[in-house]
Amino acid sequence: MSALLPLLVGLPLAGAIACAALHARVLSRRRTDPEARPGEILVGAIATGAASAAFVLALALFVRLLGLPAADRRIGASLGTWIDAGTLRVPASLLLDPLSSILALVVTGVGALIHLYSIGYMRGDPGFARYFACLNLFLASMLLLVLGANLPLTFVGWEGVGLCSYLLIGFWYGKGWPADAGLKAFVVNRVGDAGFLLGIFLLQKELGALDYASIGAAASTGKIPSATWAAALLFCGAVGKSAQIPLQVWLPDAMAGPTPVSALIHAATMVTAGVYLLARLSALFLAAPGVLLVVGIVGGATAVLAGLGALASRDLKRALACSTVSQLGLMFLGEGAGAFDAGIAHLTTHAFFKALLFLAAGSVIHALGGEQDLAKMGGLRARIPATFLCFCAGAWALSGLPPLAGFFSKDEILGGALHGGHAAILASLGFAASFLTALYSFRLVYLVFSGRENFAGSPHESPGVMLAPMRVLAALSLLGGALAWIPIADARPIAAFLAPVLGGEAAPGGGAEHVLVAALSFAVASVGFLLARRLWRDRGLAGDEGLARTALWRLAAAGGVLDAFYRGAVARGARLLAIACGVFDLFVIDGAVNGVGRAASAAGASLRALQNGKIQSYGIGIAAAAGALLLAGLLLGRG
Amino acid sequence: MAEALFYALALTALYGAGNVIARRHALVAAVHLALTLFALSGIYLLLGSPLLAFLNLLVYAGAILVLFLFVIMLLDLRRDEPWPLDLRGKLGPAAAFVLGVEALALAFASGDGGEGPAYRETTDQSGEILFGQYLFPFEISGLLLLLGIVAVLVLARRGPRPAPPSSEGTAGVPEPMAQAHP
Amino acid sequence: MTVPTAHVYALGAALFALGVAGFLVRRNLLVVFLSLELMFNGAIVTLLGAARARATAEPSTFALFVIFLAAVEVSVGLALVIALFRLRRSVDSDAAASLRG
Repeated sequence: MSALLPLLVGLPLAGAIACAALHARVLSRRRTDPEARPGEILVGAIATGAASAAFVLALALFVRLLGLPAADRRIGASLGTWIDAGTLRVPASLLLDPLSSILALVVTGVGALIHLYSIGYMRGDPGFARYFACLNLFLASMLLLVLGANLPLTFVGWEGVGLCSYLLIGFWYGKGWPADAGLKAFVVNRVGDAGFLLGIFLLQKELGALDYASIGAAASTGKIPSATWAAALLFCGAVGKSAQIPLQVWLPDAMAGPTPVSALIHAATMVTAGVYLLARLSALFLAAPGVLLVVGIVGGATAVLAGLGALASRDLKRALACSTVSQLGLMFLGEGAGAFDAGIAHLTTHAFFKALLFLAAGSVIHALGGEQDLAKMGGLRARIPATFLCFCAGAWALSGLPPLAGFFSKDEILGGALHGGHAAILASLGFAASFLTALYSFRLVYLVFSGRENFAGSPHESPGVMLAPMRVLAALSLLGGALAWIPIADARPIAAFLAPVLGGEAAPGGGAEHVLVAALSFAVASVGFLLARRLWRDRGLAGDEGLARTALWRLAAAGGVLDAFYRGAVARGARLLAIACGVFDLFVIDGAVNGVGRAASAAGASLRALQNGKIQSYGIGIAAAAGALLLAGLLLGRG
Repeated sequence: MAEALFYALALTALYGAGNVIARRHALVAAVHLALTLFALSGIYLLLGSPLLAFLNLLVYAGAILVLFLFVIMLLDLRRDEPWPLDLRGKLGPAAAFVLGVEALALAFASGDGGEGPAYRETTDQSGEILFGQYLFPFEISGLLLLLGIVAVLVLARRGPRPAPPSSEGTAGVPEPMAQAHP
Repeated sequence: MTVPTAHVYALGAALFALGVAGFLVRRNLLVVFLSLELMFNGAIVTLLGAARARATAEPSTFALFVIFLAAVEVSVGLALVIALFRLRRSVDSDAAASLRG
């Protein structure tokens, strides 16, 4: 029981409300002064302050959690009952355990850094206060998602982050296509969320309780008869939110939002909610091995295909988005193999280096005045050296080369894939994805920073307020893996820390097997790096030519196939359905409505003849009625 | 003897009634109504209600009918409804209605059956009923009469005269249908 | 007097029916009101027939109420006829047909 826990959600929420109020004031001022702007320092201080305070709070709670004995590291907070209807009883209670603690730290830590970065990135934007209101609201929703002690609360956060994602993708809605991209993200997520909701319903029906403790206990003792269905349905939600095949189409388009948003929401935190959900319900998924295999295969396939997509992309942010999809696939692959701790580990390191990459990319784009096309970059190394170094650190960590963070967490996943069942398929997918990751990471580095200068104008380094968060994240990428996941014999801190929460057995660390995995993964990543160096270091985009003839490349370029399918079949089907509904509405519904009206006026027109104003006509009616009454009286009364 | 008188008076009343509805001029019709009312007064007497018979004479034949005659003469109607009456499609239903009512009356009367006993009521009886059991309705009737007086006063008052339709320049040449059916 | 009650009722019904027929056929409002009086009298005759058949005075007392009513009706009705005549210069009932739907 802790009063600090609700505060952790409440702080960003308060920040969001404050920023929204400031934005409302700007809007009302704008009626008289179209150039009115928010006080950027005030807004930035409020929002970043709220995020930082939340981080400090999360850190304090984390320390308090560490002080507890390993078996009962749980801090709860109950805010009364949220829903009490019949058998459905949902308490509004939060739960901080090792899993949610790590997530809370990542969310608030990366979130606070990105808030800081955004002050520089969004300078001068008319929607400055609106941006920070959304960003703070996102933090609050994400923390609710992570800290909720039952599925409905998590679902509230889940939808809250979806809403913020929609708002922020379409932040520059005036341009048109960002609004469409936001809508696409929202609609695609609905598909997954439908599965999530059905899964919640099913669990409520089968179990009568929706808090994670009951679900975990029931699942590990096999008391959920339809665990397979429940797990499959909940996985649908994860697939939507974490942009896995076949619902991955929304994430590349989500890059329409401001780059810090891409970094925070569409790389570091929100899209990992699916990974978190699976880890949170690991007992349930372990009770459904078939679904777990599907999770692994879907994750692996997504990792490989999205990796190819990242390789074929000519847009910097789009390539990073595909890379995010790919890395999320890798996390699912690890979880599918039963290595939930590896998935969470990779989630954490990925949050660091992918946020770093996005922020660095944002810095590049900022320097080039909004240019995202890889063909118009190159040779930027000397112009923006600090950004270059940060980007390199991120790419290095992403590619999984030692000794940076990505190496260790990816190692965990690959080790888990080899260790679990179905090792052959999962591990081969994992290694393929690893290779691709190294290849496209360094392709980006070389295309942006080396070779001929193709850009226009004179790029300038970003301000300190943007560079500082990048430096912090770069340090985390450099050291994070080494600090937390360095395999010292069997004592792997993260796995041990998470063990009480996660079901299943963690893959044993160390030993010959681990060394083999590390060596293989290092070799694969090195080959990718070397190939990338050979292809793109000097030739720029021309390096694509050799690959462009391969079948794989065509497959990657055809990554839009699914998009085309959705557009062609699903969207057109929906439109046909809408047209059919329209026709039905026009002719059947409107026909009925107008028919009623027309029948009424026709009846009126025909009855109008009766109302002829002649007293004698009315008299006939009276006489006829009187006669009828007389007759009736005779027949009924006397008869 | 009384029976013969009844039937004779009944036939006279019906003759008068027929003329009320069949004569062209309202004045003639009103006079025939007077005939009917006198005959009916005799019948009331025969039926044993002398009070009603005399009230009928006083109120109906005396007051009401005189009022009618007064109004008819006041209005001095020259143009009346078209004559002879256009009875196409009306005569059949009217005759059927009259005969139907007759049949119904006879059918109802079968319950009261037979010849009526020799019955004669007194004014005392009527007074007791009127001022005893039916005092309240009687007072209500008085109120109704008062209301009627007030209503007539309101109706007869020459208020702000409505602007006469332009086609009615002079009295006696109205074409009301033109206004009634725009 | 030994007239059958049915004959008294028949006389009342005949007067009433003639009144109805006049009401329906005539357009002169004055004659229409005369027809109404016929109907009233038909009702009174019927009431008296009932009084004799049951040997009570109540029905004939009701007949008194009918006469009250007729007096009110005639006074108000004739006032209306005069008002209409003032307005339309006619007592034709079709002259008052402006409520036609």
